[in-house]
Amino acid sequence: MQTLIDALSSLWHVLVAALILGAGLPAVFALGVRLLSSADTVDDEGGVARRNHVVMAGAYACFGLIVAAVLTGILYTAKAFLAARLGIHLFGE
Amino acid sequence: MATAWQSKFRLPHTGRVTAELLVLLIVIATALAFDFTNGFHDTANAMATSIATGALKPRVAVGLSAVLNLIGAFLSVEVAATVAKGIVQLDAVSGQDLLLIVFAGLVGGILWNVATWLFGLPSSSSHALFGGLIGTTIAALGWNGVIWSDGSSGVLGKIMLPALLAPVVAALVASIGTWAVYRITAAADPGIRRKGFRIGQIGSASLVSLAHGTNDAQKTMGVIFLALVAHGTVTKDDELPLWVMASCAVAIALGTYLGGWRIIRTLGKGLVDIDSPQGLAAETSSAAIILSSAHFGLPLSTTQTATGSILGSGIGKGAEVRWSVMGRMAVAWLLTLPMAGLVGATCWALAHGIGGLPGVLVVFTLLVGLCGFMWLRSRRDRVDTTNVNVWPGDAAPAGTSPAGTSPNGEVTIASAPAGAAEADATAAQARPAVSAATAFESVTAQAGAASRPEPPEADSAPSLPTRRARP
Repeated sequence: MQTLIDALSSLWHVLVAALILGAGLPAVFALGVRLLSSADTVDDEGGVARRNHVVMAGAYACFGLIVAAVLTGILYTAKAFLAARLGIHLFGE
Repeated sequence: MATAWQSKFRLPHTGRVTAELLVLLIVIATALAFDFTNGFHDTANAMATSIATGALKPRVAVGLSAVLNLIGAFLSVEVAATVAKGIVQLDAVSGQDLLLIVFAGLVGGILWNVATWLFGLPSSSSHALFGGLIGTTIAALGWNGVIWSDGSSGVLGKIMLPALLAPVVAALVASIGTWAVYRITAAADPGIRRKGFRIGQIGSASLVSLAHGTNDAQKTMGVIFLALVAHGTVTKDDELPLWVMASCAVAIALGTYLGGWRIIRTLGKGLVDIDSPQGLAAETSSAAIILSSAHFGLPLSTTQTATGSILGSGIGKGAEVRWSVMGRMAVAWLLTLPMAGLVGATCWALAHGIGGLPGVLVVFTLLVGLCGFMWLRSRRDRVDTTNVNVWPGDAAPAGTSPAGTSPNGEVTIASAPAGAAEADATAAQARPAVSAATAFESVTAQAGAASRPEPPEADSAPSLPTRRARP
């Protein structure tokens, strides 16, 4: 019974974190793609007629957030290695 | 007096040392072989969606995954006499007895991995390893050698619950992610959308590959370390020798590069038809769950998480999910622990009954023979880079329904010769159809690589006999 309670309380944390990261990041990425595709007004010849720089900046901010998240993920994967071999302690360990 | 004593005992002593060393070497080779199967069995977890959507060419995808697995393996540092800690109690045994338990457990894991690969089913490699070790522990030490339930450890807390929770959590997260992605990008330019998501997919898939190398190679390192401790080469407190780390890293990377195309096809094309946005959502969900679950002390299996995510990406898009395929996978997951355990226990009994080096050699020969047999069977309906993105129609799973998977698996493992004879007869009849189907599939794959056509179900019917050829 205790096993079940422990697992379910961990599960709650996992679920929240996974929803924020696992569903939230794709949503941010999608937002970036959407902004990117609406930043340029294309003329008849397929060239860029007008570029909305604010929207473009928003798109790059979204992608920047994603890159930061991926880098954090890599560092998180490597945190034990960094702590043991290089003495760099990340994520509070 | 002393010289007489020495000369009397040196020869048998030297002889025993050589036999022990040979057993150790066989155990290490078997452990690396398991690591190799672990590699090709799990390539799909990271790369199936990227290959299915065309974000990466198949060879490039497995190459990238292999390199990241190699790097990931070197990142793991937790040593490692603690493999299967909290699941089996191996403290009671040492020396050759321990080596034999580990060896038979590995054999059980390898045979189950290769068998599920033959059927294209993504089962958990960790479960196969633990199942094998649990089975041999029961055979060697009895039921009390296994920790069934003890707080958050034990078979219940470490294997059963995570196995039940992983696919559900993953499917939920991925379906919400997919739904959001499609809603947000509904108005976006399709060209930009496809290109953007393909790039994003590569990033998320890479993260899964890296995490896989770190987690899974470590298990084999632990097994080899345990074997070295049992043999007395190192003590428990020693550092993990570099050659162990390097050989495990290379073995898992080579396995990954080989590419488990059969499993990649099932996950990428069999379960749901995947588009780049779904692939990104599924891979991100997998990566987020694998990393966060490890952080919160409830490590969820990579395989079950990845499968659940892909399933969820289909649900979230409102796409058709082939539940029959999902059913077969679920059956394979349920069977992984008991079947690997049964094979492991049988191998242990065989090796223990014969005893010593001959026993280990007999089981090792059996392992090589059965793996060779299953590999030859796989050549009958090859899945490789040319047809990995062609699912042989909805009708195929009907021949290997959930109920049929179990007996098939047992037949392959337990009574290979009988199965071989029957299969030969069936395959002889089916052969012309096979070559026609293969040729057709590879042509379709090449011609339609860019536009990724739906597998023409009626036309691929000739490939059915190969899938149903098994008794």
